[in-house]
Amino acid sequence: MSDREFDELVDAMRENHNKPPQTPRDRMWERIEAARSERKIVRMPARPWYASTWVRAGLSAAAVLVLGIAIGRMTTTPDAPPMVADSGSTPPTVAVPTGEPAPRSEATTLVRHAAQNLFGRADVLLTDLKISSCSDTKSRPVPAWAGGMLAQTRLLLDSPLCEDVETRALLLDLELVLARIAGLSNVDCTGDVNRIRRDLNDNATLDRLRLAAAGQGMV
Amino acid sequence: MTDASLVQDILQGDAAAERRLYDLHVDRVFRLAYRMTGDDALAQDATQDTFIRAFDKLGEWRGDGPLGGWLHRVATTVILGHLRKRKRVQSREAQVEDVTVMAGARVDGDPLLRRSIDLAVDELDDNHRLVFVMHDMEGYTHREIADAMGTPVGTAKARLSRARSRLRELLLGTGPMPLPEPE
Repeated sequence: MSDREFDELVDAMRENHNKPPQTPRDRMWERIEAARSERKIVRMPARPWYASTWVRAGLSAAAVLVLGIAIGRMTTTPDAPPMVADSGSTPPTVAVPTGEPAPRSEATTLVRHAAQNLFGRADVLLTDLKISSCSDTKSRPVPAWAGGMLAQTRLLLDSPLCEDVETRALLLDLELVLARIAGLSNVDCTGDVNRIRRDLNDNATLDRLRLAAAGQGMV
Repeated sequence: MTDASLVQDILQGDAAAERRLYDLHVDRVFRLAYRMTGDDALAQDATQDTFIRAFDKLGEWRGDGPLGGWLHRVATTVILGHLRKRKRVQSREAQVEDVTVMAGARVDGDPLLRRSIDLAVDELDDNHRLVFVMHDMEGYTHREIADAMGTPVGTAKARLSRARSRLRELLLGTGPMPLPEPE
């Protein structure tokens, strides 16, 4: 088939192949408007910031944390045996007490529960970060969530829980990661997110968080 | 009125500006959808979905290219999505062997020949058919096609060339040669 013959065929296709009719402008516009107004009606009214599930969970955890730390400070005795990590053990998450385990006060238990709660939520956030996409509004990371957890992490860093060096190291790593997520740009965060993901992998942060959330490796 | 000021008006809630944007682009979007689907209802659905999605995502237009190019990128995504959905529920109507056209045959007034041409065009994979339809049937420039498909101009040209070669093969019945995957 020569080029001329092919061009003739293409001309014929232009005339015959799925030749569009007149554009039904008004009919389609009416449907577009109807679809958009329908969605506006069914769209839920915006909830105040304090009604968000994440914010409420964060506030509850923070309240428990503050209470626990306050009670802990009031009840801590100076002669309680210190807990140190066994430097010879390979997994970075497991802390081994040197002597008899210290009796746990209710306050310490409270802080521990608050910490486990935080680690569990951080696990969800960081797992979500692994599959999030900055270019897609529906799966973009949410820096505000990290902001709430960051405050709790800093409170925990000031708690008796940090006498355990591994827990302290985990909290410090978490503080850094959360601060970086909280500072992510809304416009283009792909590069930053990739760097955070790389650091998470390098430091095995998620594995350590999961162990800690399950109550392992914490005093 | 520039694209930027039109978008700004729409983002500020100006309904008349929304209609202006629609009027500016709806013909080309509908024609493309119709050419690709060959189905009035499906073409209308794809056109409507294109504008609904475009209005939703208008804030993401960065102004670094013509608004029409950005809108056509939305349109091509929507149209290809509709085609994929349709393919899932339909079986192929014809086989490659049915499309062969003898060299020198005249198209005018020959319904069988027209049918063969339709089948040959439909035999192209969607990405190559889209480029062919845009350029050879609807007169889009290579630049516009590249913008709409989110590819460099060179890729759009190469895709068109492959689409035309493949179409020529199909029309001559030189046997099915699978196209390489779009890059």
